[in-house]
Amino acid sequence: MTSIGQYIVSVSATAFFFGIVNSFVNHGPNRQLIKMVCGAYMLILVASPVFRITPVDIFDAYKDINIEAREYVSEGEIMAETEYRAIIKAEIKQRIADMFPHNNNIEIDVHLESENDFPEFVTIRGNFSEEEKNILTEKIYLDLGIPAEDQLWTE
Amino acid sequence: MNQIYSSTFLPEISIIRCVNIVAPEVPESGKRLMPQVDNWIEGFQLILHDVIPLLIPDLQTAAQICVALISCVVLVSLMRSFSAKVNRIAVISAVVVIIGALMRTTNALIGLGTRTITDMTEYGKLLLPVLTAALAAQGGIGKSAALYSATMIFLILLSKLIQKVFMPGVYIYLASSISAAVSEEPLLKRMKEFIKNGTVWCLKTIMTIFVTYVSITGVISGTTDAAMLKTTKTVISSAVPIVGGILSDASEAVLVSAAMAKNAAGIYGLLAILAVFLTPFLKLLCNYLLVKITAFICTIFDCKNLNDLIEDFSGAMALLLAMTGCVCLMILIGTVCYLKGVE
Repeated sequence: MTSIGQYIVSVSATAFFFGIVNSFVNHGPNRQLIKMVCGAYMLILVASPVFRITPVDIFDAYKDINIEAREYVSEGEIMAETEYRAIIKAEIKQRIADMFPHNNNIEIDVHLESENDFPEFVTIRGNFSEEEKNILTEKIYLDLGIPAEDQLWTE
Repeated sequence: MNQIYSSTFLPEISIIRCVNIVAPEVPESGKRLMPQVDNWIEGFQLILHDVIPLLIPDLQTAAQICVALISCVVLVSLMRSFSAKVNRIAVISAVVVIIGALMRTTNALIGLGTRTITDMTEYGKLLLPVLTAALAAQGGIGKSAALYSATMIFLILLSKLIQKVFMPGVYIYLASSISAAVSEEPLLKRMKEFIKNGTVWCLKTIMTIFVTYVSITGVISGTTDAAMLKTTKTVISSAVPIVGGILSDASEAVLVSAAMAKNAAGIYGLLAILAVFLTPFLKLLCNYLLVKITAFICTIFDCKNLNDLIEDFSGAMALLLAMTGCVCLMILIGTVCYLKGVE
């Protein structure tokens, strides 16, 4: 509001000054010329706020906004990608855990491929017999496409 | 960025995994009216219910001023009927009284309008990035970028124009009206008409261009996004049966949760904007209507200059209403476009 106040004061003061000038030259020979100069100056002064917003400012602002837009979009994409991978990992862990209905003491860690989010390798911690391991290795391969060499079984 | 978790608006989502979308906190000026509900209609009704008692003190003050104005015009009319000589002095005195009565209110309303526009613009600058990220998470990559750019550039342009051009314009409009009331100079009348018509024309043009641009870009980019999403989903689920199914389900879950979170944040944003906007807008509207009615009543007493002056004060309030309304409408339209999502 300070700038608005300054603007009003400058317009009013100039109008007052030109009013006095015009009253002095009211009957002089250069009356028309002085009136014209005063009028032109007043017009520029009144319209001065419009000139402060230049097209360059708008174009610069548009460029910045486009950059911002891309940043926010990539933020959203990253957010979605993170959640997407978390859901896939949780689902695969759950599927593997369902293959051991009688064994509650297992820990499963899934690693996904960075490009297409397919399961790359899996680490399974727990106590299993050799026979169980063989059956489950095959099952994990058939169901989830993780080959035996990418399955790490630890105790 | 000043944000809060909009957990009140995400009661169901908070128990499942979802994209972490947060709506910006409602500005201080809107906190009093902000309803604590997650339903748009209910929230809107609550805001309307709470806003009416806030208007009563302003309405009473405005009514008192209007009665004073009518008394002043009646007095001048009576004086003129007794003696034609006092005409000029009486009119000038009445102009001074009208300025004294209305200028304070108008000045306060201009301040209120400016603050409201600033609050709404600042809130819009916080809300739009959140909705952009949410819409991008939902798969509307092209649409969100286009909507953000369009809404933001128009919002910045409009708020700058209002602060730097239209608000000083209102003061010049009032100055010309006051001068025109005591002087017979036709230039002053033309100047005030020019300012009023110019402001209204600019606001209308900006809003029309904004709505057209947003509609066109929204439809074009939205269609492209939707086509891309469908193709991706089909390719994944048909390529690898079990893992493909898991990936496809995960993709669906992310899209649904992002859409739910985006809608919750969007509705919170819409209600926040209305909570900020409605009180000043209705105050302006009440004052505008009362001054307009006063001007209408004053026409009976045949004091054209005074009548025009009162009418011009109502015109200044109408300009403020238009400016505040345009900024609010722009943010609301932008937010609703985000809520529409990817189809």
